Amino acid sequence: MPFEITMPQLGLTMESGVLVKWCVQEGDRIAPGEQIFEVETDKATVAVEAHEEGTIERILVSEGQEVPVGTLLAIAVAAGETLPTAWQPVHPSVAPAPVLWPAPQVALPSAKPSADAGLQASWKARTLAHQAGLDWRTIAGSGPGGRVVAEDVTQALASAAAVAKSEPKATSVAAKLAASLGLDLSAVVGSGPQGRITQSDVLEAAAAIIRERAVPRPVPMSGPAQVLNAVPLTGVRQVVSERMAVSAHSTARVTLFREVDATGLVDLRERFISRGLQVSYNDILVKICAVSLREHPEANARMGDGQIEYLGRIHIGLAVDTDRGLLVPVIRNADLLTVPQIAVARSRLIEAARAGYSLPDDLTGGTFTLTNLGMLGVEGFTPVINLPECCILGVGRMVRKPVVVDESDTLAVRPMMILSLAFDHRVIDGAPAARFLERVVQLVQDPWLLLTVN
Amino acid sequence: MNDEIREGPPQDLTGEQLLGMYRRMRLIRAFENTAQRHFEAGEIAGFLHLSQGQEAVPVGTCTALRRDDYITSTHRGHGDVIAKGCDVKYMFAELYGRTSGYCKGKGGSMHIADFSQGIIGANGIVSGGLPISTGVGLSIKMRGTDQVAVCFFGEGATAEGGFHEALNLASLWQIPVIFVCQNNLYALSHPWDKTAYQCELEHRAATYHMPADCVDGMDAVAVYRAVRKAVDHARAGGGPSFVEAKTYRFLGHYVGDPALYMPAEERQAWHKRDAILKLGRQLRAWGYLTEEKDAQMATDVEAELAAAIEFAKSSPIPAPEEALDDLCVHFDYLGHPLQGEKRS
Amino acid sequence: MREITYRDALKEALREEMIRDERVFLMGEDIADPFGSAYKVTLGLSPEFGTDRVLQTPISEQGFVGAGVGAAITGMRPVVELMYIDFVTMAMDQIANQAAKIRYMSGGQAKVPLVIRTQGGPGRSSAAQHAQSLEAWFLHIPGLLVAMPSTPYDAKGLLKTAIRLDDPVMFIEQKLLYNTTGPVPEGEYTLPFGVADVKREGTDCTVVATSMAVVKALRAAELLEQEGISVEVVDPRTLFPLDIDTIVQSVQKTSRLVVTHEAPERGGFAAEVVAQIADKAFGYIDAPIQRVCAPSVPPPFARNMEDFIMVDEKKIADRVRKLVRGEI
Repeated sequence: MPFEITMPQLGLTMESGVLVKWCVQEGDRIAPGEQIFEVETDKATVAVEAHEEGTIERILVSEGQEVPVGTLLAIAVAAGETLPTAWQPVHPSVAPAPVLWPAPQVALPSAKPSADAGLQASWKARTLAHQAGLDWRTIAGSGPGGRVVAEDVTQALASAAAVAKSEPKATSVAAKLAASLGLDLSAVVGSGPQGRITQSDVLEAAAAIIRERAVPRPVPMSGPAQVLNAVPLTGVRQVVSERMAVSAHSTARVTLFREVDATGLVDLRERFISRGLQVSYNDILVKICAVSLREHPEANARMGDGQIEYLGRIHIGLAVDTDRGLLVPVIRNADLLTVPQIAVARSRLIEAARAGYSLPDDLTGGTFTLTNLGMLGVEGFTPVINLPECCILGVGRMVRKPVVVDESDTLAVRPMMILSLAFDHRVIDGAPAARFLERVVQLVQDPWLLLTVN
Repeated sequence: MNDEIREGPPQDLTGEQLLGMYRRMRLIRAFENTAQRHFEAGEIAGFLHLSQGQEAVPVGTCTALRRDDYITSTHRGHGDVIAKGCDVKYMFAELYGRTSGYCKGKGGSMHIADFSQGIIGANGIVSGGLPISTGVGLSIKMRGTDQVAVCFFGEGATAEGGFHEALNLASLWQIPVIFVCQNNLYALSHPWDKTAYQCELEHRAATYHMPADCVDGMDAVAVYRAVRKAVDHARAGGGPSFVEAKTYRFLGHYVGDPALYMPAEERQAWHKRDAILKLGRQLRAWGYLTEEKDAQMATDVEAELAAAIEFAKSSPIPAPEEALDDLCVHFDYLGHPLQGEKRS
Repeated sequence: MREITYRDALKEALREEMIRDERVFLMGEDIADPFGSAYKVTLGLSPEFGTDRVLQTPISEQGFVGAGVGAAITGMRPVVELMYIDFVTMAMDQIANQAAKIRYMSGGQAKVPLVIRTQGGPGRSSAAQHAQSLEAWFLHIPGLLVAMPSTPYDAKGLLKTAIRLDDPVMFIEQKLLYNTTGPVPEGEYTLPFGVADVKREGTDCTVVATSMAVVKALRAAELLEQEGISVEVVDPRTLFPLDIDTIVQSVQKTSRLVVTHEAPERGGFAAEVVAQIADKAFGYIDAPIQRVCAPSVPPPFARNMEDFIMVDEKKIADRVRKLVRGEI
C-alpha cells in the first residue's frame, strides 16, 4: 500500500512550514524512527521521522519550499511494491487557495435617520394588509406620527368591501360609454357574467332613459324618496361626519354673535396688497385671533381626560372647502408669525390640502379654528366646535350697511361683518368667551392695536 | 542501576500485578506515540496534551484502586484514564470524533470519561477536578460505602484557589479523597520554581492537616506504595491524603510545542530515568520477564493500537445534528420536554 | 386556603424533599441553626436533619459548588445555597464549565442533579455587589435550567420539581419576596418547568414579568384597570425552559407587549422574549415592543437612587398606558 508523507502540524498555530532538507532520496528505504526530512517553522527547525517502513517512490516538494500543513511531500510504497498507475493521493499536492480577507472598508458616517423614519406601519398592520392584498402605504394612519395601525387596515378593508359592494362592475368599454353619456352605472343592470355591465347594457339603459324622459312623468304626490345616488362614507367624508357628530353630541355649545365694523380690516388689507403682499382677510383674522388667545388663554384650551388643559402653543386651523371635502390645515404658532408669514403658510397649507398632499402635521394639532363662509354669502352661523378645541370663530360676509358711527348718532355706510364665536361651555364659560370675542372685535375694528402688543 | 534491583522483588505486589503494571505503562506510551503520529498527520482535531514519561504515576496509582473507585483527571489525562481501565479502541474513536467514542465524539481528548468505571473525566480547566473530587468524596461518605476517589492534577493547579478550597473542605469533612499531584515541573511553559516560592508540596498540603507524601514519580512501585497507603487510610475512614509524585513529560505541553523552555540536558537526564525502561530492567532482574516475553508484549501492544486505530477510522461519523443532543436529561436544547426514550 | 410566606414555602419544599429522598442534602454558608441562612430559609432544618445533611460550609463558593457537582454526579442530590447571586462569580467555573457541560461532554453518560439556590435583586440598599439580578448569565449557558418564582405557591412547587429533576438548576429567589405571603395548599404538589402562569387576564396589553417585577406588574394592572385599560400579566416562572407559547397566545389577544424585569435592560431576559416574539408573533404586534427594566448601571446605595433604578408599578403603568393610547 502506498502511503503519503505530508507536512506535519507541529504547533497549534502552525499553518505552513519550509522543507529545509531532505534526508532521503527517491528509491531510499526508510524505517520507523529514521529521520526523513527537516522542517523549519517560525519557531524552530524540527527533524521529522518516518512512522512506517517502505521505499520513497517519489518526492514532490523540493528543499527550500514553503508549503501549508497537510501538503503531500512524498509518496512511499511498502517493501516489494510499486506505485499503481491509477493511485490517487488523498492529501493535496497543491497548496489550497489562501483565504483572502477583503480590505477593511473605511467607515462612512451614515446619514442620521429622521426621527420618524421607522415603523410607519405596525407589524400587525403590514401583515393584515399583506394578507388582504393591500399596500399599507395607501392607507391613512391614525397612530402616532401617522403610523398605520391594525385598526386603520381593518377600517380600510371594511370601506373597500363597502365600496366594492356599491360599485357595479362594468367592462371598460361600457364604463367609458356610460361616462360619455353622463349615465350613472349604478342604475344599469348588468347582463354580462357575474352581473357585469356591458356596452349593450349601457346603450339599452340610455335608450330607456330617453324613452322615459320623452314621456312626461307625473310627479308622485307621495311615495318613498328615491335614492338617485349613494356616496359611501369613506375617507374624508367619513372623518368629517364622525367628528361633527361627536362634537355635536358631546360639547355644550353656545354661540355668541358680534357685528363688527370691518373698515379697518379692509383698509389694512389694501395697504398690504398695494405693497405687493398677497394677504387675505383670513390671514389678518388669524393673527388677530392668535393675539387674542394669548391674552385670553381660557379660550386656548381643550378637554382632556378628566381635566381641562390650557395649552401653551397657539396653532390656528383654517377651515377649507376642497374637492375632497372639509379640511382644516393648521397654522402653527400663529402668534409668533407676522401677517405676511401667516399668508405664506396659509397659502402653502391650502394648496397642499386641495391637492391632497398635506403632511400629517398639517392637518392636526390645532388649538383654535377659524371658519369663514363670507365668500359664500353667509352672514352669521353656528359653527360646530372642532374637538378637542373649545372655541371656533365663524366669519360672515361683509355687508355695506348704514350704522351709527359716533355719539351724535351720525349715520354712515360701513362694511359690517358678523363674527360668530361658538364655544364649549364645559371648558370655558360665557363671560370669558365674551371677553375673548370683545378683544377680537377691538382688533378687527382697530387693527393698528396689533402694534401695541408684543 | 544496581540500586534498583538490590532490594529484590517487592513483597506487596505479585509478579502478575507487576507485569500488568509494566504492560499498562507500555500501552500508555504507545498510545501517546500513536496519537501524536496521527495528530501530526492531520487526522485528529483540536489539541493533544500527551504524557509520555509520566506513565508510572497513573499506573502506580490505579494499581491501588478498585474498579468502583473514582478518579478525576486533567487535560493531560490519557494515561490516567487508560491506567484506570479505559479501552484504547474507544479512546481513539473519541479522538477521531466518532459516535463509538467514549463520549460519542462530544468530548474529545480533554473530556474523555467512562462513568461506568468511575472515571469522572479528563477536565479542560486546570484545577477544575479538585472541587469535584471533594464532592465525590463527600458523596462516598454520605452514602456510606468504602469507595475512595483519586484526584489527579498537576503542580500548576496548586496555584489556583480551587486547589486550596478543595483541600480545605476535604480535610474539614474528612472525606476519602487522595490528592495525587503529578509534578512534572512545567505548567505549559512556566516552571515550578516560579509558581511557588521554595515550596515543597507535601508541606503545603500538610498545612491542610492531612498526611502528605513525596515520591519518585519515575518509579511505578514507589508510587503504588505511597498511594496504597493513602487509599487504605481513606478506606478505613482516616480521611484525605496528599501524594506528590515527581515526574517529567518528555514532550512539550501540546503536540507541536517545540518546548524550547525545557533545556536539552534536563530532558536527557529525565530520559535516562525512563520509568518503563527501569521497570523492564527490574522485572527481568527479578525473573518475571524474559526478552521474548518483552518483545512479544511490544508486538501485542502495537497490534492493540493498530486495531484501535482501525476501529476508530472505520467507526461511523456522528450526524451533525447530534451536536444538539445530550444537553439535559429532561429537556432538549430548545427547552422542549424530552420523552422517555431519549433520556439515558 | 392557608397563606404562608415565600420563605416558609421554600422551607417546606426543602423539608418535604429531604424527607422523601435521603439523597437530598443542603450545603451552603451559615445554613445551620441557630443562624439558619442569610434569609432564614433553612432555619429549623438542621435540628431536624442534622448538620451532616444541612452541611454548613466555610466561605468557599468554588469549593462547595464544585463539591455539589461531584456529589451530584456520583449519586447524591445536593441543594447548594449561594448566599447572594453576586457571589456566583466565585463559583462560575464549576457552574458554567463543569455542571452545565458534564452531561454533554461525556456524551450523555452523566447527569448532574444539582440545585443551586440563590437570591438577588435591589431594594435594601445592599449596593452594587449585593443587589444584582444575574439570571441572564445562566440563561446564556446551555445545559442549565433557570427558575425564578414570584409567589409562595410557585416557589414551593418549582423548588420541589427542581430537586427532583436530574438536570442542574439555578433557582433564583428575590430578597424582597421572602416576606410576601400567598395562598399555598396543604399537601403534596409540584409545578412543571416550562409552563408559564397567566397571573392576571386582560385584553389591551400583555405584560411579561419575572420575580419581583410580577408583583409590580400586578399592581400596575390594578391602577390601569381604573383607567379602563385591561392588562394581562404573564409570569414565565422558568426562564429556561421558556413557555413562549403562552406569551404568543397572549400577544395574539392583545397585540401589545411590555416585558419587565429587575435586571438591567441591556442583554437581559426581556431581550430574549422580545426576539422570540418578533419571530413567532410578528403579525400580531401592533405597536413597538417595550422593555421596562433597570437602566444598565450597577445598583446604587442611596435609597432614592436605588428607587430610581428599580422597576415599579408606576413605570410599568406609564409605559403600558402610552402603548395602549397609541402614543408610542
